[in-house]
This record gives sequence, C-alpha cells and structure tokens, in this order.
Amino acid sequence: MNKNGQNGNVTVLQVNNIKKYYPSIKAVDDISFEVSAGEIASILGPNGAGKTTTIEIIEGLRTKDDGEISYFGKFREVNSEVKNRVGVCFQENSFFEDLTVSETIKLYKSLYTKSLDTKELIEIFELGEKVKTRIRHLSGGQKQRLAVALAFVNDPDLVFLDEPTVGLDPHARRNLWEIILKFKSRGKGIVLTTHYMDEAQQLSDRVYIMDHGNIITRGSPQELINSSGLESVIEFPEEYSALFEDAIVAGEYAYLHTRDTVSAIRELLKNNVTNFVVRHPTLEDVFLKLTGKKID
Amino acid sequence: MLFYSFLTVNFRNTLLFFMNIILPIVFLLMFGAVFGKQQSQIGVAFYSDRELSEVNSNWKRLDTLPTLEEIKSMGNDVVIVANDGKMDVYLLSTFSSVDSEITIFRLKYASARNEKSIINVVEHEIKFSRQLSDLEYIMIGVIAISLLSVGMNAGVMLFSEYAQYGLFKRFMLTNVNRLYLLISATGAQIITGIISSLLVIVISWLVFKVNLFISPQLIVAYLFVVFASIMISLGLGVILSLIFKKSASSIAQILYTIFMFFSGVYFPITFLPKPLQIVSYFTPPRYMHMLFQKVYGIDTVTNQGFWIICTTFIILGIVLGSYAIGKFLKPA
Repeated sequence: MNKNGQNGNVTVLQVNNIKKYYPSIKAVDDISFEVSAGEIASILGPNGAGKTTTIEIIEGLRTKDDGEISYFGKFREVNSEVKNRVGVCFQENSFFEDLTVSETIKLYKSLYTKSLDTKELIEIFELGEKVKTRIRHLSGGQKQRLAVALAFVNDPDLVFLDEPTVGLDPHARRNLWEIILKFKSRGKGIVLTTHYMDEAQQLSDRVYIMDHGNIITRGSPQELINSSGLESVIEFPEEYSALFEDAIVAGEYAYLHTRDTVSAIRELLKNNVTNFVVRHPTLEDVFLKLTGKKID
Repeated sequence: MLFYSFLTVNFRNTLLFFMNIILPIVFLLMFGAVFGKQQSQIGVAFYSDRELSEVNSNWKRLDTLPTLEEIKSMGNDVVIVANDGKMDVYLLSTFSSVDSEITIFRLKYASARNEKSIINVVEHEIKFSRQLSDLEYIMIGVIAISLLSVGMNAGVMLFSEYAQYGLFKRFMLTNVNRLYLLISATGAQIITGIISSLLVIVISWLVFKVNLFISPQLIVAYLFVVFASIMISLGLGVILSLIFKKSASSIAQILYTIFMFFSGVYFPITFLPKPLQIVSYFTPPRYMHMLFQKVYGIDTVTNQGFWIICTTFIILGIVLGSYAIGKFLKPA
C-alpha cells in the first residue's frame, strides 16, 4: 500500500541491472528498481551520484551499456508508445521564450497523440493570469510551474520530475506538492529527483538513495529512518565536533546520531555548549549517515 | 503548431526581427540614399534622320543608322531609331520606364518632319542580357543578403541556442520526428524570407521608385531562389553551430559581415585584389545574388547553371539540417 492507501501494484517502470560506464567513472553501476502506478519514488543522492544519468537512460536521452528496462509491463526501448505515456520535467528547462504560456502548452500538446485539456492544466497549475504572457516575462517560479505542467500535458502514466520545486518559495513548493499528490492519486507513477529531504519525506512512497553510481539503500522514508538505528539526533556548532568521535560535520553544524542521548547532552553541557537541538531523526539524517555528506 | 512557433518567434524575438526584417530595410535605405540619384540615368541612344532640338542632354546621339547588332552591343537601356517617318524603339531594359520621354521625342520628330499625323512607333523588346542601374543591382543584392540573414540566424538559433539550452532534449522526449522539425523550421524561415524580400521590394518602389515586382510567370522561379537561398544559409548556420557551439551566434554575425563584403552586392568583386576575388567564389551570397539577378532577367548564369545552383543549395541545406537534427535528437 502506498501513502494514499492505494494499491500501487501495477508496475509502470522496472529497471533491471542497468550500467553506464565512462572511461574514468562508473556513472551507473548495476542499478535496479521499480515504480508502480500511483506511487512516488524518489531518487536521492549527492552531486555526481549518478541520478541524472540513471533518469536520462530511462527517458531514452542516453544509451545504456547493459541492463534492461520495462515500460508499462514490456521490456523495450523508448519508442513512440512509451514517449506518449511518459512526461518529463528537467531540472533546467528551456522554452521558446517569445511564445505565451498558452501557445507553449498548445505546442507541446501538438507533439503527443493524447493530452490533457489546456484549460484544466492551466487551472491546476494556477497559470490562469499568465496565460497570455510571454515566457521571457514569467518569474522563475512561474516558469518552473509551467515546466511541471508540460510534464503532465500528455496525461502520462509515468512522470519524471527532476528538482521540480527548485527556486520556488515555501508556499509555492507546498502548492506544487499538492498538485503532484493530486496526479499521484489519479494513478500516475512519479519518479522524483530532489535535494529537498523534507520534500522526499513528505511525498515519497519509496526512496532510493544513490552514491557513486549505486543504490546504497531503499525503502519508504519511515522504513529508512527506522532501519538506520538512529534514535535521536543532536545538532550543535561544528567547533565542538571533537567532543564526539562519531559526530559528522556538515557546514556550520555537527550532527551526532546516538541512542544515548542523555550522556551526549551531559557531555555538551559539561563543555558549556548550550546552543544545541535534540530531535527525532529525519530522512536527511539517514542520508547524512549513509553518505557522510549533506545534500547540496 | 511547431511551424507556427518558429514563425512567431521570428517576429517576436527582438534580435531575430531586427536581423530578418529591420536590417535589410536599413541597408536598403542606406544604399538607396547613396545610389538613389543614379536611378534616373537610363542609358538612351537615338538616331534621327532629322535635326532635333532640345533632346535630353543625357541621351547619346548616333550619327549613323545603327544595325540591330550594333544596337545590341551598345550597352544602352533604350535605343530609338527615327527614320523615314517611322520610330523604332528598342527596349533593352524593362526596368526603366522612359515612356513619357519617348512621347516627347515622337512629338519633336513629327515637328521636325512638319507632319501633323501621328508617327508610327514600333517597340522591340530585345531578349538578351539587361543592364541594371546601380540601385537596382543593390536592391536585388539586399534581397539576397536579407535571406542570408534569415537562414543563417535560424540555423544558429536552432542548432546552437535551442540545442544548447535543452529545447531539443525536451523535443527528444516527444514524438516529433526530425523531418517534421526540419520542415517546420525551414518553412517558417521561408515565409519570413518571403516577407522580408517583399518588404524590400515594396520599400524600393515606394521610396526609390525602383520596380522590382516580379511578373506572375516568374513567381515560381523567384520562390525557388528564395527556398534555395534559405536552405544554403540554414546549412551555413548548422555548420557554424556544429563547429563553434556556444559562440556560433557571434561568429555568424562576423561571417555575415564578411559575406556582405565578398558578395559583390555593395561593390563589384573586380574591385577586390585577385586573391580575394577567388575567396568570393566560396561565399554563397555571391551565388544568391546571381540567382536573383537571373530571375530579374540578367544573364549572370545559364538556365542550366541556375537550376544546378538552386538544386545544390537545397540539397546541401537538407543534408546539413537533417544531419544536425539527427545528431541533436540522438541519445548521448
């Protein structure tokens, strides 16, 4: 069962042992995962982990060296039928800057055999006021919303969203989350790449954490947190990191994952450290523990 | 919709609109202002078996009755032979109208013969290479240069900027095929080219009274040259994009200026030193200018040569365009 309590048992994407090697690096090294209808699967990882290469191989933008991919129950290459049923939002999107929002939606609709109603799309993504505005005059957030809208223009069954909320203010991010969840509830399989851990935790049914071209762990956000063995996290200024052997420094803060919270707090107070925070572990802590770095 | 998008962008994008529409008009007005006064200097020679007074001082008087061969070899636009009460008007240039002056000449000739009856005038259109006035020559050149701009900038825009910024990557994920993309892009450029050249023709006529309107039977040939010119210019844009990638746009502007220099549009190629004259053979605008002159009745190239150049340009454009689209739409 996924988060919305739906049975996501129809597999829309199955990736088996795909590999992509470059002379100096194994960009994708034997990766397998699957996405079901009505499910949001998030791929997380630091820069250079192989997320984008993996997604681009699945989208058909890059060739793979080995492995196989099943789209909608059939192992095959990206063909016309697959393209019609897949939607994509890149991290950096490019448009005909001198077309209006409405013209752009119509253009993309014309490139597919099926599509959502333009009005409905404009309404869902709250682009109504900007429908006659040229894209070059849109704000970054409005462009981002349009890019996500275009990912759904062909009413796809499988959607790839690469950093869909980057550059949005917190309110706009939450609005977009609601839209994504709305499409999920319509049975769309969604593959999300994000560096916002709260986003992944809020939206994902399954999370795949990648590093060095491999998936290093997988599961639902709660499963990952539970299986990490983290009881609590203490966050304190990095200059005191030497107090604990296993503290992880990331930026201005050090993070201590511990089961013995009381002893750790006692140690901090003994050293006159009072500006610390004790909290339950999050997906971000799991990520930090596994990769040793905060996501950029 | 893709065709509509490309076409719309051509007219909404400030830079493209300037390069495609405004710049040719600026050149037209600039060179028209420089060469405009020469427009009325139509070469007219005349022979009369009677002494005529106050004939236009720019007209050349012939002392002996010319033969047809002599008339053809004189290099005049119009030759009038008034002999034995009859006037033969040999028109070697249909660009320039001298009807009113021919009427005055006829009246003077009739008066010199003391005849009140109407002198019989026979017009002969000589079907061989015409002479263009400097202004006509340049206006035709401006059309060629405007098409170079339309095609080359489109090539660069498509294969450098759109490819670079990921628009092609996004198209790869749709069912758009390379032929549709190429037809849409070139179709939009051809329409833009036609509009641009039509504006040059209309403004030439309105401002400088230069008649570059095409007779209906030549419209197909004219459109064929527009198509060929756009295709070769598009191909050039593609080559620039493939070689220079991000800087293709700047290189295109430099190349455009160089091409104008070598095209023979703004001054005769013979003005250049010999080695540079050879360079001009490798610049498409030179041939585009020749093709347009051919459409306007100038024997710059044989009929066979005309079709060979046009077809070569079109094939080159299609091959380069398809290659580039295929390259950009291919998985990495």
